[in-house]
Amino acid sequence: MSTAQAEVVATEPDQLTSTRRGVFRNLMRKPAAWISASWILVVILASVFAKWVAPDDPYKQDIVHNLALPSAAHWLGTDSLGRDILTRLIYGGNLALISCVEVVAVALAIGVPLGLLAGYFGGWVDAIIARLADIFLAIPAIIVLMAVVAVVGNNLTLAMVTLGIIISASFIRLVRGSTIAVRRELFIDAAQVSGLAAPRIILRHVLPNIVAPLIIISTLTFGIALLVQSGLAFIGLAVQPPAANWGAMIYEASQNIYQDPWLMAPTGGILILTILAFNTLGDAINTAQAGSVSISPAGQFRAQSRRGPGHRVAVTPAQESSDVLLRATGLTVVAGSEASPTALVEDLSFEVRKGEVLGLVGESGSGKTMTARAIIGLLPLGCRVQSGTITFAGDDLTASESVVAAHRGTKIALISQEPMVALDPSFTIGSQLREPLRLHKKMSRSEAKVEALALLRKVGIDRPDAVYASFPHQISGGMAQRVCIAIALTGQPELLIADEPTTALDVTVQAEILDLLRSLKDEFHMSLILVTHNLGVIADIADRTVVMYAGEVVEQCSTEELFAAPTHPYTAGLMASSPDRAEIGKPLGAIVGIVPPPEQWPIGCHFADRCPLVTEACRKAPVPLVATGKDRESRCIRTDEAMKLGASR
Amino acid sequence: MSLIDVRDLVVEFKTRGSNGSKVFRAIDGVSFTIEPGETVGLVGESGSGKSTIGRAILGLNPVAEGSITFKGDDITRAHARRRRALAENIQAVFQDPYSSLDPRRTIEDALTEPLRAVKRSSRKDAVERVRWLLGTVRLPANSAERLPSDFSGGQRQRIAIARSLANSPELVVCDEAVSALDVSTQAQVINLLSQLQSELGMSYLFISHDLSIVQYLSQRIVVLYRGRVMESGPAEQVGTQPLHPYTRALLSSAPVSDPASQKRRRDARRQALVRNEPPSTVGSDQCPFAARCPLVADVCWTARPKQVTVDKTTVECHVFDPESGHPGTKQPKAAKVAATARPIASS
Repeated sequence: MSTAQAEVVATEPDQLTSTRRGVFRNLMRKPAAWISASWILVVILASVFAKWVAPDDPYKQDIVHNLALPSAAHWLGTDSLGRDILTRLIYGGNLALISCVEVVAVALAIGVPLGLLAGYFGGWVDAIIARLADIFLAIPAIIVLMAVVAVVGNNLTLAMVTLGIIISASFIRLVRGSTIAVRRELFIDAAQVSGLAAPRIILRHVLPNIVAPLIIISTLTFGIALLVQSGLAFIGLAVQPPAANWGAMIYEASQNIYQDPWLMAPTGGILILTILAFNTLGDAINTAQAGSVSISPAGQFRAQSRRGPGHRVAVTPAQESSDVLLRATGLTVVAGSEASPTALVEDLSFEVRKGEVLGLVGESGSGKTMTARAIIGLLPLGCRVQSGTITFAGDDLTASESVVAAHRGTKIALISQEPMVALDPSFTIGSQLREPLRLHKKMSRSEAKVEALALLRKVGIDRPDAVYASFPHQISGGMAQRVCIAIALTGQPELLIADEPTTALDVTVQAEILDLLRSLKDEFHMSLILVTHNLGVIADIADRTVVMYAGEVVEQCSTEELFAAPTHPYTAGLMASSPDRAEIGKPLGAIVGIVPPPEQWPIGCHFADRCPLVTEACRKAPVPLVATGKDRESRCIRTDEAMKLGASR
Repeated sequence: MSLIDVRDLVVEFKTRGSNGSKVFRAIDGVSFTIEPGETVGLVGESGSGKSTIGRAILGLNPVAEGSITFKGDDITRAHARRRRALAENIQAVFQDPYSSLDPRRTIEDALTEPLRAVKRSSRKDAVERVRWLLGTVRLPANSAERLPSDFSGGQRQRIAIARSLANSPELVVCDEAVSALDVSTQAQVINLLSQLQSELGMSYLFISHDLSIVQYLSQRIVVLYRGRVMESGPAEQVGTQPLHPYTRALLSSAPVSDPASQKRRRDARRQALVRNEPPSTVGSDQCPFAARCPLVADVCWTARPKQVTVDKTTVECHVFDPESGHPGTKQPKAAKVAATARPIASS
């Protein structure tokens, strides 16, 4: 135990770099956000310290100078009674903000507990609370407010509390929705299993995770409350003259619009600015929040201009032997800015021969998916090919988007890990199969249908008619992958790239899909690039294998040679880690440490920190791929020792 | 006395469809036991109900019929207070190391929470225990103040394991605990789990879809298919010479990292499985595997197989039941099965 502990502790602390990014910092980087926040702060401070800030007395009348334009004495002019506008705006801000706070406080006080209860417990609790919220939402707020004011008289606080109660419905719904989402997280199950009672789980784990949407809705509600409060004052409700009130001041401005149109500018302006500030801030918090959560890159793949300006023009391609279908030479894929790009795949070279299955194996972060995506020109946003070439049928696929687009979907096809995601849920299987057939082969609708049914039969679907008419959600995952393969076959591809095609499937289904790929490869005379993390899948189907680690090829050779005697310590370690090879009762030959993230790739061998055979020389300089046999390469300066390591496992 | 005794467990879910709500039987009469210090592997494909059983033991799913006893106490429908007390004895490690830790709580918070919930430990004792726990799962002591986002998947899973060990439980339910990890990290965590068991002596219910991992870690294996037990018995027996046609299909389908033996298994698999889209529902009064079984006969569609014991293995298949009327019935003898690549250490 102690040795294992020491190893892990020794290698891991420097990996614990913080990746957290403050929402606040994100927020303050946006000018709109800090301008809004500053404006709100100015309004709050001015109205709280009105006594000291205001230049005048809000009630002091000066009939002689009424409806005056801005002057040195009255910066924003005076109203019909000659009172200083600026002073009255400052004093009025106090009232406006207090009303807003009342509304939001009431809405929070009602909405948060009810929403939490409804979302956390569900069932009848949820049913009752949700109906209650529905009723609130159906109430026309402004009419209720007018009725309340009519009955109880000019009591602004009561009106605002009423508004808070009505608005609480949207708080209930928001909190309920967010709570249901958090409730599904495993850490809530874990807390239950840890013996925490429901109230503590809600307080400790649910509430903190829904604070962000609450802040956003509260900010927006501030704006609404301000508007409603001013609206009421404008129609003369819930005001107590002569107290300064923004809405009442706007009303007064509208009464004097012909004598003094200027009056509308400061009174209307402050309301608009403040409401705008609240809404802008709410929006900004919303985006800043979303920005701090990392979005899965899977959704962001799209075609784009592929070469960075730093692209190195390749030397004339080597003499193509006739059986090579695709050759990647010195391929480097980077992400990030032009100035400081981070390499995700470095100097990758391999070839795919006609009719062969090339396995691309590696763990997450190895760059295997990035490589597959680079071939078909679907790199994630922000990633690009910096140098190197990918030659396919005489064309360099990295040259321009149009070159790769000409082959994509026809000569080169792709199937991915999540067949269900790859299919569009709103169209039938039939229409998704017909579409590429009509596009690529210019078939008529009925011809396309015949061809589509034939393809479905080819991928081993027994009742093609039924599947043809189905929607994706009506078929199983294995069936969906067959459909995706059928779609890939519509262009009669010469190269099929299968990116983890069986990872999401059950083993019995995986076996069937691998059998299918094997037989289709022969029938259609295709080559196959199979990307996987599973050595068993490689052993099952690959003729040759490229092993990748941290963006580099570490070893490539025929699959048989690879499994017989790996010549790279990483490959040996990967095999020793596989539980299907393990001797029961003996520990697995785990590789210590973790895969370094791309920013932390060392100058020397990328595997150095985890390698049992590491020497000084490994860390000093990049390790080249060296030939270790016929058609066999390894990126290791100690291949002999590595082979012994592989054999001793 | 068994640590956990699951008897005739039935779990049902209500599904709301376009034509009213239906009851879906996720678990249909499952029985097995877990002995102190033992690892029982629960293996099956998606929809087999393996996680549902784990969650029923943890009290996260309601039970429709049958019973779950813990050291002789019936905990099938334990009320909230009893359930919280059980947290001291029964713990869990979940599949997804990203969602199983609250992103807003530090590691120390995550680890002290169970301590303070169950034992009302003092802050000082709890902090002491956190240091010990982090050491036990081989993480540096300075991890305590960090947030989950600072850690990789494998490290997070170590933290989740540390949390499950906080109160020295007698049973840890590992629900696909290593499935989300890369092979090399997976091996680290598997090694950690088995070292911890030999140091601390708890039992594991190890739930996984991967027969090779289950076989490596378990003493006994329970094979599930569509909410029913197909076969259960000693890991060595079930993992290398299974009796039930489904287990054989499962075993021969899992690819091994050796091209030569993989080719042999591939051929064996073609005979072990009929390629057929399984029906969406299976009645309680038939064999759930009938649609895909190469040995299927009329009786398989009309009668639920009885439990038959062959040596130390229990199997639910008409072929092994002389009274079933299945034409292929033979006096049970461990059927010849595909060669496997795995050597068994003589221990």
